[in-house]
Amino acid sequence: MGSGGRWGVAARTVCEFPGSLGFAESLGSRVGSFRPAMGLELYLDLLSQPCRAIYIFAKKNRIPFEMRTVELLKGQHHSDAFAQVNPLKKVPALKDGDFTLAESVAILLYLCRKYEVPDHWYPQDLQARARVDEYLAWQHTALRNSCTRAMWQKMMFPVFLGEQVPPETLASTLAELERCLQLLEDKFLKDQDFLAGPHISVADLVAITELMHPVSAGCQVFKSRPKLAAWRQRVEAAVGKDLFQEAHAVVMKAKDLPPADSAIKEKLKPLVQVLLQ
Amino acid sequence: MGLELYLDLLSQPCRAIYIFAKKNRIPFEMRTVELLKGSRGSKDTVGTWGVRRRQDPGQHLSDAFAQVNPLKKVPALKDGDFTLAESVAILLYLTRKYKVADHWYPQDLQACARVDEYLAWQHTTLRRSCLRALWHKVMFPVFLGEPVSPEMLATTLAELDVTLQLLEDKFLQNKAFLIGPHVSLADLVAITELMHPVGAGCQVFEGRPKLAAWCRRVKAAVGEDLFREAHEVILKAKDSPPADPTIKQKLMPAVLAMIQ
Repeated sequence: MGSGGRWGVAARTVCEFPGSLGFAESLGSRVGSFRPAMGLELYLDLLSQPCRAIYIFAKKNRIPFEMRTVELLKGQHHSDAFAQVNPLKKVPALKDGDFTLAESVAILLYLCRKYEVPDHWYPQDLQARARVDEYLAWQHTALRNSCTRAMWQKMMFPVFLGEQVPPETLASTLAELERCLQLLEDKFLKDQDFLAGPHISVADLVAITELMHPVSAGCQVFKSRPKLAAWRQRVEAAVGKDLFQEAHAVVMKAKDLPPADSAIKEKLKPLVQVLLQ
Repeated sequence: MGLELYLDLLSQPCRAIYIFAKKNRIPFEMRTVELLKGSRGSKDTVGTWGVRRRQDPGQHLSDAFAQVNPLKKVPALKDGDFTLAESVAILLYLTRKYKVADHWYPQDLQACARVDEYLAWQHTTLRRSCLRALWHKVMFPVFLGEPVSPEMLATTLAELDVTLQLLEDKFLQNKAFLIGPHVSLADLVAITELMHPVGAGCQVFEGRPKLAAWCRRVKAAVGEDLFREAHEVILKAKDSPPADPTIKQKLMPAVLAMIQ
């Protein structure tokens, strides 16, 4: 399956083929045959927030890369082939020649440095950079967590997994999301145009892609938050509306996913446990 | 004022910052924020680099501290008018401002990426399981007088085991230090995490000779005295006197949120 993306890069799907490297080549070469050294490869599923941040960043900065789609809902991140790229079995992951890298923050910073992107993405200025670092550190256990849970508990559980989440659990999750959104506004954004100051940075990309998760589930994240809504407009404008929409096409259609079959449900069981805690 | 570091050495990320600042002879005023201590009569002691102030209990929840860090957590940094939260951000700020030796956060693109990778990964994995091990094994029963079921403790310790295995297999592998031949920020952050369950009496290094050897190397690189000094508080955690009921009530919500 390949589709020409905006930059003409074919999206190849990582599938599980026993006894092969696990890649379906859309060109004529045999599966399992020797592959010549590749340039930068980004292993992404645009269903995932950190993957979207990296996708937007790479495209916005015209960083040439091969897109390797890893479909989480099909359990493709559990394949042996993908474990060669990321033994942590998670997306996003990067492969640059022999060098592999996990963790979206690490990947974003690697791309910033290697491709010498404009300064505002990760400013040289000591204090401005510290603000970006501060946001990137905070979000792991705060906004990331609550956005993932909100999206899954409100939408993916009923729609995709055919399971209802107890109303108290969902209420508690949405309250936690509210709390994080308040911190995002009060502690990080304040009266600035962007999270780390007057210009867009990787912090804004990471944050906006998080917030689109509950948005895709129908949460009115921006409705009563004019400050955040205005910031969102600025981020979208800075990124480019087309690119922003392209990156979010998958997650915005998640509510129309057909229900998962029992094999997939089984595969996703451990994830389900974690998301309901 | 010069650089001020708001720390409680009970906390893993605070220890990493303390060790880093001292090892690199970064001049700072130590501002002790006592997360748990209930006694108003705690002594003022003069540390090597500054004065330990007498603080009220649960001081991280106070309005005064919120001026420094509205997230109400330690560690926090204040450098003139500039305040900063989050241990990773603080470590990187200190690295850059004080131009420390390259190995702590290498210029080399790939080596640097490896440090970033570890520092990102640990937030939701080792940090979490080490914190839960300490609290479930020692702090809940001993300090808060709240029993923890054997099943809960077993689950927590099993999770810790899984993350320790990942630390060995994915990060350390056969290297001297987490990212290569030299000690870096990643090792400081990791070792101070592991001292949490050690402080709780968990035999973290038993049956893990690779990790044990790495631990010895990190201690040697940091300096045994400094390492010991940074860990005095946590190693006495299991001897904490029980909290009085008012302290317990004040701290409970924050504790439960922290160890989720």
